[in-house]
Amino acid sequence: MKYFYILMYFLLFASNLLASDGFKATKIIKKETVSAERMIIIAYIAFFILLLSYILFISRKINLVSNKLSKLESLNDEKSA
Amino acid sequence: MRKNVKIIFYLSVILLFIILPLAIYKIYQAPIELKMGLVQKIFYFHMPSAVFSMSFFFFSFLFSILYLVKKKNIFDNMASTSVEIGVLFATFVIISGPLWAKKAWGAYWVWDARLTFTLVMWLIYLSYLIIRSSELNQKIKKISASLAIMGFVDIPLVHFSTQKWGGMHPIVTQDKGIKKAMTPQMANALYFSLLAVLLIAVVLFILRVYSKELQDRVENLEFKIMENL
Repeated sequence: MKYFYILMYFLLFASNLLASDGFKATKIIKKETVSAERMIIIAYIAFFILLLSYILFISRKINLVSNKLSKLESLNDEKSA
Repeated sequence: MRKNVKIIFYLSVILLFIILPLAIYKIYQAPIELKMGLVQKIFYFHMPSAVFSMSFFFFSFLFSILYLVKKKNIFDNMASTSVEIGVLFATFVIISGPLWAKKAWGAYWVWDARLTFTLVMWLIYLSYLIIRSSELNQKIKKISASLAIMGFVDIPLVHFSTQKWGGMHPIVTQDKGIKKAMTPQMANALYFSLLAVLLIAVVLFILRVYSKELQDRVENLEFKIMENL
């Protein structure tokens, strides 16, 4: 197990080291005329889609698990009775 | 759910319904930045998401240490929930950043220090979620806790990368502070967005930890029933 941790730590360190190689201030490539409004709309839609999907995921989980829990509790009561 | 947690949850939901529309209104009202133009308005949700993704990765680091020391399931639940929320916000940062960059720099992606370390951070915590998506037992919980602790190495690198290596990513408030770097309307919009994202994160965190507690109760009950058979 400890070799696994060492390997993971090494990989993490190596990836950070590789990533830091050659970080110099890059020049601005070129100004393009893309619509700012479109970019803003896409960004905010992405934010709310991500948020809603996570909320839906949690509510579905809670629903499923609480249903299962109530069934198991009644089963447990029957057994103990 | 415990009573005090319930109070925090409902209070956060109520506040969120007030603050989120206000934040959107304030962003709409904020003046257009001179250099970058209209696209800079992405910043009002991009920056808070980045701040809270890193904060939640820090929480996962703390909860993972607590889990490894105390071996209580609640800390594992809190650590994994923190990672989930951190990844959620980091995903938004990785989507919204390139959209902003395309307009401001002319390219969706450059291998700038901040961008690269953010991508590495996102991949580390995504791997945490992938590890846990398989069968979840004590061993997996320990491995994922170790990954959350080791993965935290990247967070200071993300934060200090622009100061250390420069690059194209702007440093928002390094020396001046928010009030001097922005006009009052811009600062207001940012404060409201920060508060809105914080409330969203609190609500999601409480709900997700609650769902995991329910899951634990189901597993315990299943074990108890199996023992009685």
